[in-house]
Amino acid sequence: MIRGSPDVVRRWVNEVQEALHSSSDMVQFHALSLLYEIKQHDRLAISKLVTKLTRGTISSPLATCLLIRYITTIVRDSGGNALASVTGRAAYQFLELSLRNRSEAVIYEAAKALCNLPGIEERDLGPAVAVLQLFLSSPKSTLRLAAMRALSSVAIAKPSAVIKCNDDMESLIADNNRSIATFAITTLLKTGSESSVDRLMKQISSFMNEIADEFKIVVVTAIRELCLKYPLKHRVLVGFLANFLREEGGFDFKKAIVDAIIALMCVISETKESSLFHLCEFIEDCEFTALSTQILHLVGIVGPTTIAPARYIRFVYNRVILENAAVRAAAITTLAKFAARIPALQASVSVLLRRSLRDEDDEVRDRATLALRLLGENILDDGPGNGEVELSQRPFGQNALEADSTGELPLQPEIHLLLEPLPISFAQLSVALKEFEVAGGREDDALALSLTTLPVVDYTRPSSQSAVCIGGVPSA
Amino acid sequence: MLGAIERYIKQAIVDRNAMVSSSALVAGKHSCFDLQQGYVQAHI
Repeated sequence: MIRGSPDVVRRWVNEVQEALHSSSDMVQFHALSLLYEIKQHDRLAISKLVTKLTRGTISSPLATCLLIRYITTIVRDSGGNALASVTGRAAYQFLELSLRNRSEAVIYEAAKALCNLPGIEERDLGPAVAVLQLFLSSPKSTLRLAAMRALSSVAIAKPSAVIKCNDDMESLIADNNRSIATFAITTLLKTGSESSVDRLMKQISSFMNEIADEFKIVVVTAIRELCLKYPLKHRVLVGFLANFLREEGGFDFKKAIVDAIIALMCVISETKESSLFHLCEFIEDCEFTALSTQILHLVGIVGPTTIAPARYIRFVYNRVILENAAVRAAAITTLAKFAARIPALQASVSVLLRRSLRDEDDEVRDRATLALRLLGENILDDGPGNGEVELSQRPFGQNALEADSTGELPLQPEIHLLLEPLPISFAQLSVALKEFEVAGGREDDALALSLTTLPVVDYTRPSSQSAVCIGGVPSA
Repeated sequence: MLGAIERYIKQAIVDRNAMVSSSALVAGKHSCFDLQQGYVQAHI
């Protein structure tokens, strides 16, 4: 084909104008789109063209759809309060008129354009929503999907405009097409009132097993927003999310739920205890290292502030026994946080930590050593042979111990010192922990690929070393 | 090259047959190569 000669084509305007008034629908469509392209850099010419055409010279549905899109572009480009101007008003009237077009495509296009107009008022949306509501009960699933999609985007900005479609949408939850059902559910979650939440939740729980993970994530996000809107319903909603956690699902789905629960914990303090418990139950059977470490970190921060912190110790120590190195390391840090914040637990946690001194993983051993040291325990008590092996095997651990011992602080003040400034030092420690998590993820990849394991090990060490250094600062 | 056949294309645009006319218009669209980007944006 001939390319790159727009100047020549521009000379055809007269012929194209003539073709625009052709009797064939197809020719009208092509003529309009070419005419738009010829003139598209001239805004004035475009708006003249559109104004002329809105007076009703085109009959082709496709060309009308195209015209509606051009109108939307013009209105959007004019920015600000577009509907206040004369052209904006005219555009609105044309779109409203198009809602009564005989072609469904035009009706939909006009309704969608109306919904997306910037700065449109809710009463102006009425006709468009009414038309979309009719589509919802159409026998054609394409129309149902299209209407549902448009309505769900309206619901984000103006939920009250969509409320009158609630009944129709509820019947769509049972639709054969899962995409339509998901849109219906999420839209209902946005528009539903507080009283309908319970009923909706029942419907969703039967429906969740049938849809794919991406859809589930959409639903989870919608539930999270709903819970922020109606904090009183947190028991039902968080319980619902926790139920999902126990079911099958991929990483993204689980992460979405965990993120939602954590976000709700931060906003609604009543959910803190129960959510933490749900999360702890989740890590009992969690196959995703990243999520486990994230939750362990959270337990370390929030757990000690709860009414009965001791009951979380069991969950955390189970991780030390059962999980991989990265999770074990995170669990050790969490245990240390409990011991540091709650003096009553210190003795029993120290016993637990002591067992990890002989862990097969460097990082876990280091963290256990550091934690015990910070708690004021004498590690070498564990047995002379073991202590020596550890020191000779790990020069870096030795350095840490040396640094600590050169501090020459009496044991008693050290404990006292730890209890006060530890929150700061552990906050810094958590930064190092995050760093390690990143490194841990990479390490897994590298091991799976069996490539470049060495740089990863090099990467892990500085981060754990920095953790030791940071931890060592207050005692030095 | 385009100049030589321009006359025929112009004629084709106003042809009475819808197929011929549309083909010519589409040909015109294709030759606005540098404007294609704008076309894509306008249609999303």
